[in-house]
Amino acid sequence: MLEESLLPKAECLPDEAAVVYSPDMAFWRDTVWKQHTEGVAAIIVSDALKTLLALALLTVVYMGIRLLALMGYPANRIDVLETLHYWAVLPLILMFITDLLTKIFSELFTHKG
Amino acid sequence: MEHPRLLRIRRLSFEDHKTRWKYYRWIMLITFAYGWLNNLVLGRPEREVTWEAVGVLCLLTAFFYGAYCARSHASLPRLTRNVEGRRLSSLSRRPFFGRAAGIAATVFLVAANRIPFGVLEAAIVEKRLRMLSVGNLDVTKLETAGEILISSQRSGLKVDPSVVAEFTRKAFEASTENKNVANLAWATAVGYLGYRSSLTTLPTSVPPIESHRLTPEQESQYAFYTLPYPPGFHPSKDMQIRLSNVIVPIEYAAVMEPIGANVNKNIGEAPEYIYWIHATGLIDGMHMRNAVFIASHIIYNGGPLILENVYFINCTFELKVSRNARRLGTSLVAAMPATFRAS
Repeated sequence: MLEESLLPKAECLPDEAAVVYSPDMAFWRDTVWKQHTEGVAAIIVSDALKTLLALALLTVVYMGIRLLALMGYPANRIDVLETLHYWAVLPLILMFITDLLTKIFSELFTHKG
Repeated sequence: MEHPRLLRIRRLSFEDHKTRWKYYRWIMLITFAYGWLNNLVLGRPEREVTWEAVGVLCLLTAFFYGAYCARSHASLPRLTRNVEGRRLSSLSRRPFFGRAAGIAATVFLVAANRIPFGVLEAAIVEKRLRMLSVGNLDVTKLETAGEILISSQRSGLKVDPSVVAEFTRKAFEASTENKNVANLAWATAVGYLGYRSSLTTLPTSVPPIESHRLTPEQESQYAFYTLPYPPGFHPSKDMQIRLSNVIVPIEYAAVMEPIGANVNKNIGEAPEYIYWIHATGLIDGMHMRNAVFIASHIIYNGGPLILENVYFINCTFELKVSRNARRLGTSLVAAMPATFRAS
C-alpha cells in the first residue's frame, strides 16, 4: 500500500487537489484572500486600488507634459501644465491619507462586535 | 462611542460609498481650485499654498462628515451592501475596476521607475539638436537650444556627446559670423560646453581617485601649483586635490605648473595623475598634463595654455570671447581628454 501511494498519479493531475501551493501562496490565497472576513480591509484595499489607478492616470498625463516639453512646447505653458498637474496629484494623495486615517479611527472606536 | 449619530461616521466611511465619493469629489475639486487659483493666478509661493491646501482639505472633510452626522435618518440613502463579513475576494467581482485595473495600476507604477524613459527623452533631444544644427543659427534657434539645455541638465539626460559637440561647434562658429547673434551664440556654446563635460566619464585607463595617499617622501619631492583665483572668486570649502598613487617616470607624470617653470626637473618619478575636485581657477598661463578636473569651475581669458591629456568632468566654464577661447571650446567638445596649445 505504501509503495502504491508513492507512485505518481498522472491521471489525477486535472484535479485541484493535485495542484500544490507553497505555504506562502496558500496563506495569501486562503487565509487572506478567501477567508479573511474583515470587510473593513476589503474596503480599504478597494480604495487604495482606486487611488493607485488615478495616480497611474496622472502619471501618464505627466509623461505627456514631459513629452510636450521635449518637443519644444513653450516653457511657460509647460510650467502652467506642471502646476495644474501638481494641484491634481496633491488633493488625491491628501484625500487618500485623510480617508485612511478616518477609516482607521472609525474602526478603532466604533468596531461592531 | 455608541451614539447613533457618531456611528454615522462608520456608516459613511465603510458603507455609504456613493455619498462618500460624492463628497470626496467635491473636496478634491475645491482643493484643486484653491491651489490652482492661489498658486497660478495669484502667484503665491507653492510651499505656502500647499500647507493651506492641506488645511482646506481637512476642514472640508470634517465639515462633510459633520454634515452627514447631522442628517436625519430619513434623508440617508438606503444601503444595499453591508461591510460586515465582506471578503477580500469580493474585490474580484467589482464591476468598476476589479482586480485587473488594480493590478495594472500597481504594475504600471512599479514599472514606471524601471522603463528607460531617459533613453527616449535623450533621443528626442538629440533629434532636436540635430535639426537645430542644420543651416545658420539665429536668435530663435539659440533660444530654443538654451531651453533644451536647461531641461536636459535639470533631468540629467545623457544625450549622445557627438550631437552636443556638433551643435556646440556650430554655436562657437556663429559667435564669429553675425553680430546680432554673437553674444547669445557664445553664451549658448559655453553652456553646452559645460553640458558636454557632464557627459564625460573617466576611462578605465585612468586610475580612480585613490583613497590612500603618497608617502611623505614622495609628496615632499613632487611639486605642483594651484590655479590662481580671479578677483571676486574664493576657493570652495569642498575643494580637494588628490594625486594618483601610480608612480611613473617624470616625463609621463602629472604636470600642473606655469608654462616653462619645470619645477620637477630634479626628480626621477612622480604621480601619474592629479585630480582637482570642486576647484575654481584661472587656467591662463598654465601647463597641465594628466590632470582631471571634477565638478570644477574653469575660467579662461584666452592667454597662453598647454593641455596634455586633461579631463574636465561635470565642470562649468567661463570663457572670455577670444580666438584662443573659441579654439579651446571647440577642442574640448570635440574630444576628451583634451590636448591643446595656445601661445
